[in-house]
Amino acid sequence: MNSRIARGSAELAIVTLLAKQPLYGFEIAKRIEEDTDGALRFTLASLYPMLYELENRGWVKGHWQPNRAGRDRRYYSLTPKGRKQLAPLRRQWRFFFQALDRLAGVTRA
Amino acid sequence: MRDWKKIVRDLDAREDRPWPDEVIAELASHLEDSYDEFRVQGLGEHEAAERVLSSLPEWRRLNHAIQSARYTWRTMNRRTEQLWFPALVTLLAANLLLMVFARAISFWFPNAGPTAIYVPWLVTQPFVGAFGAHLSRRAGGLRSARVLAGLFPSIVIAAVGLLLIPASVFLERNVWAMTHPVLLVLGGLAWQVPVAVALFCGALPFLEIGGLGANSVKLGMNR
Repeated sequence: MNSRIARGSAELAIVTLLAKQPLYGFEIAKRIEEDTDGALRFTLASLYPMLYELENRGWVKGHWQPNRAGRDRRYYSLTPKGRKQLAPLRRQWRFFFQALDRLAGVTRA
Repeated sequence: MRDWKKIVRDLDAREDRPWPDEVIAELASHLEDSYDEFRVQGLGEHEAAERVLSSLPEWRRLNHAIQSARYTWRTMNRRTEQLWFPALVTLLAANLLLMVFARAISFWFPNAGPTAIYVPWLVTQPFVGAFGAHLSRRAGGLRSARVLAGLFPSIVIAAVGLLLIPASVFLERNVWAMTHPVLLVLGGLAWQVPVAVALFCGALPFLEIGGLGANSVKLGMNR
């Protein structure tokens, strides 16, 4: 997959998940893999650079707190700025998929 | 029980720009969670740890990707930083040295031939190749980028030679060159190949062939 598309889809996946609740890195990766039946999969090398970049942009904010097992984990939550990105990101992707569908008939295949 | 924080810190200590403790703690916690997940799936302690360690990415690239993501002052894109910038620095360094040697030697030894300039210049080329490969490696460049950055002066000289020499041969109607193209090519190679070899020798320690590659890092950790 084109790296720009993969990158954009990863942004949307993370922002969408964090809009529901704060999660830490491993949970984010696991949840995305489970919710997409393994179609989207994050590795250490793809997840953390993305999270730090989103944090740098001010879309997410990390803070340390104990998880259910009592271990300190860095939870990420969506900032108001990040929340504002959700609707435009969804719109862009809907537009992209509709365009692709018109071209390639993906949903009719 | 494995000290994941120590493993991450040891890996990262090899890098030019190590991460702050917070990043090390976070990545270590990710590895710890991965390990626990494998244990829950029924793997033994050793096997689970092996699975986690074998899933580690090439550390230099990860280090660089995280540095890029965390800091905004970076103005160059990754390809520029890993290839074009080191390559151009190498080219500039090689040309500056050639200019310095040419001026100095023709000043002190006015009757000296081109070999008197070429040989001392050639001796400096391993350092130039090493510098280019080092800059590329520091920026997280892959081995191919490091080779290209180190060899860039030689590539440019070869490209220019391939264009200019045939053009000048025809424009000047050099009969000898036209009738001896093989000798012309061999002569060009005799000047060119030693430069490429010298640059490559300099770059070699930074290519980490069979040394500090991703696999050996993992094996080192397993000990």
